[in-house]
Amino acid sequence: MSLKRTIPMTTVSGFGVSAVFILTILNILMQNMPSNIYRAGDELLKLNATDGVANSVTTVVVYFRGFDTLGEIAVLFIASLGIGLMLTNNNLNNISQENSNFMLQIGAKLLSPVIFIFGLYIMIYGHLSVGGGFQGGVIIASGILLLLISSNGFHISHKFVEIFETLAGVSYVVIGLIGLIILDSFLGNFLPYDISKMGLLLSGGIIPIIYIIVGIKVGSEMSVIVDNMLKRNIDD
Amino acid sequence: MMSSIYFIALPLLFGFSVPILSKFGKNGVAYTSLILQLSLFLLSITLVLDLTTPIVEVIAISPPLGIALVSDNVSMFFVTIFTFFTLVLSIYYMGQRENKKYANENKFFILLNMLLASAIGLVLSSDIFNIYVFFEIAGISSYILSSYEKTANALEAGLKYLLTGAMASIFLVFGIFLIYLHLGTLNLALISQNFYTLSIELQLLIATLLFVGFGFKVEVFPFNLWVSDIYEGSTPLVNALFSSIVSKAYLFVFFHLLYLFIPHHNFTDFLLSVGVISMILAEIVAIKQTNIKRVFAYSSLGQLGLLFIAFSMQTSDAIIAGLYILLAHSIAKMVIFLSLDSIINKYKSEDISVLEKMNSPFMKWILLISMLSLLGIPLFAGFVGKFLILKTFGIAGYFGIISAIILASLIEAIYYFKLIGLMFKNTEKGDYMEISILQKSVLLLLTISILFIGVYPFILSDWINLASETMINSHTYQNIILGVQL
Repeated sequence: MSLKRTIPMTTVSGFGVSAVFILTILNILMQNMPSNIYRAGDELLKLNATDGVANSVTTVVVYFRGFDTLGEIAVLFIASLGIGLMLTNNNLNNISQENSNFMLQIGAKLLSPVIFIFGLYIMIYGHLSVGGGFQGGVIIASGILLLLISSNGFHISHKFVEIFETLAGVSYVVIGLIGLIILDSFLGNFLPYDISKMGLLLSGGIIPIIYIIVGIKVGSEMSVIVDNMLKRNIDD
Repeated sequence: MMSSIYFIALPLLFGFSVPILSKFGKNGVAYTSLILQLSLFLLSITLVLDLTTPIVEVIAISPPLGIALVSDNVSMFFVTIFTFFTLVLSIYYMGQRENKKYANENKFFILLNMLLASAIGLVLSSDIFNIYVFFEIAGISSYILSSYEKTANALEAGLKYLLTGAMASIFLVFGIFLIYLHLGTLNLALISQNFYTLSIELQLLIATLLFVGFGFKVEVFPFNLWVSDIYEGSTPLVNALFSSIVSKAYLFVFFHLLYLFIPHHNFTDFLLSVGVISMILAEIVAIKQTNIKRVFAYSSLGQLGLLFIAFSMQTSDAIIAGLYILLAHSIAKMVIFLSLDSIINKYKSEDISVLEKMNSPFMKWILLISMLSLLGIPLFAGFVGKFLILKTFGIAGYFGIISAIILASLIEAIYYFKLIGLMFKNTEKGDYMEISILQKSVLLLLTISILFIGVYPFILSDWINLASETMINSHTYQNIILGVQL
C-alpha cells in the first residue's frame, strides 16, 4: 500500500523539480540571447588564407586546434583499448551462428570496394573538399562492418590492423615533435605551404598528411571496436 | 631542448607505440615506461629549478586564438608531484611484478601513462576546451583502470564511474558552450578578463554548470556518493593513483578556473559550507566501515573536503595551507594504498581485521607514521598544513570552520586509532610478510619525506609561497598568456 503511494510521489516530485530546473535555465537563456559578437572561430577561419588549405574547417581542426585533435585521437585509442579489454574473453569468437542472406553477401561484395574508395577519397581530399580523416575513417570502418556482418568467412586480423594503428599514432606525435624542434612549436607546419598552390592535392604542408594519419587511426580503431563488439559468446 | 610539451607528447607516444615496444622482449614495455617516467620526473625538476619567469609553450598559433601550455610556479608544483608519484608507483609495481603480474600488463602501462599525460594536461593547459579534452582522457582511463580486474565489484565500480563521469561531462561541456557562445573565446585569460561583463544570472548558471561538472570529479558533497564503491572495486594501486594524482588535478583545475573567472569572493560562503559538509559527512561515515579500502576512501573524501575548504577561502595564506595539506595527503595516501596492495595480495582479505593478521613490523610502522601524518600530529607532514589552515581561519575570524575542522580531526582520530590498535594488538599473527627491497625502499623514501617535511617544512616554503601567489593572481596569468607572440 505504502509502496504504491510512494513510487508515484517520488517520480512526480522528481519530474516536478527537473521541470522547474529546466524552465529556470531556459528562462535565463532566453533572457540572455547572445549578442552578435565576433568569436575566435571567425578569426581562425579568416586566418586560414595564410596556410594554403582550401577547406578552412580542416585548418582549424588539424592545425590551429591540432592539439585537441591529438587528444581526441587519444580518447578514441583508450576507448578502443577499453572495449578490447572488457569484451575480450577466451570464450568469445567471431563466428556467426547462421549464414547471412545470399543477397546481402553478394551486395556486400559489390558495395564494399566502392565504400572503401569513397572513404579513402574523403580522407585524402579532406583539405580540399568537405570531409576529412574522421569522416573517411568512419566510412572505411563502416565498410568493414558490412563485410563482417554479411559474409561468414571474413574476419579481420587484429595484428594486421594494429600495424596501421601504431604507425598512425606514432607518426602523428613524431610530426608534432619535429615541428617542435624545427619551428619551436608543437605541430608546427614545417613543410612548405605555398599559397599559390591552394586547391592542389599537394598543398598545405603537414595539414593533409596529418588528416590522412587521423583517418588511418580512426579507421583502424573503429574497425577493431566493431569487430570486438560483434564477437559472440559460444555459450549463447 | 626543454619544453613542457614533452610531459604530454611523450606519454602519448609511448601509449601509441606499445605494440612496437612489446616486440622487444617481455620487459620492453615495462622498462620503457619506467624510463619514460624517470625522465619526465627529471625534466620537471630541471624546469622547476630553471623557472624564473613563467614559460608559455605555444602550439601552432599564439594565444588567445590557439592553445598554449603555461608552466608557472603552481602548475609546475603539481606536475612535479604527479610525475614523482607516478614514478614511485611504477617502481613499486616493478617490485611485485614477478609475484603478481597484472593480466594484460601492457594495457595497464598505457592507461597509467595516459592518466599521467591527462593529469598534467589539465594542469598546464590554458584553453578551456583543451581542458575538457584532457578531462575526457583522464575520465576514460580511470573508468577502465577501476574495472581492470573484471571481478563483479570492479565492473560495478567501472560502470558507476562511467555513468557519473558522463553526467559530469554533460554539465561541463554545456558550461563551456555557454562561455563560447557569449564571450566568443575559449582562452582562459580572455574569459577571465571578460567574465564579469556577462549578466549576473548567466554568470551564476555557468558557475553552477562548471561546479556540477567538476564537483563529480573533485568529489565534494552532493556528488561524491559513488566514490567509495569505486575505491572498493579498484585495486589499491589504482586507488593510490586516484587519490594522489587524479583528484588533485581536478581540484587544481576547479579552483584555477574559480580564481580566474570569479576573483571576488562571491561564492566563498557557499563553497566553504560545501567543503564542511563533505568533510564532516565523510569522516562520520568512515567510522562504521569494515572494508579497509572503503575506510581510506572516506578518509580521502574527508581530506578532499578539508582541501576544498582551504582553497575556497581565496586568499594566498589559505592556498599555502592547502598546498601543504595536499602534498602531505598525497604522500600519506600513496604509502597507505601501496602497502594495502601488498597486504591485500598477501592475506586475501579486505576486512579491517587483515591489519590484525598482518605480520610485518616494517609495514606496521610505515602505516602508523602515515596515519599520524594524516591526523595532523606535530612532527609529521600533515601538521604543517592543518596548523596553517587553523591559523588562517583564526585570523579571518571563521570560528565555525575551525570547530568543524577540529571536530573532523577528532572523528578521524577515532577510526585511525582503531586501525592502529588492530595493528599493534598482541594476537596470533598470520604468515610473515615478505617485502621486496625495491618496495621497501620506495615506502621508506616516502615515509622519510613525511618526517622530513614534518620536521623541516620551511625547505618548501619559498616554492609554495610563490605557487600560491601565482595561483591567486589572475592578472599575472592574463598578462602572461596575452603577452605571448610566436
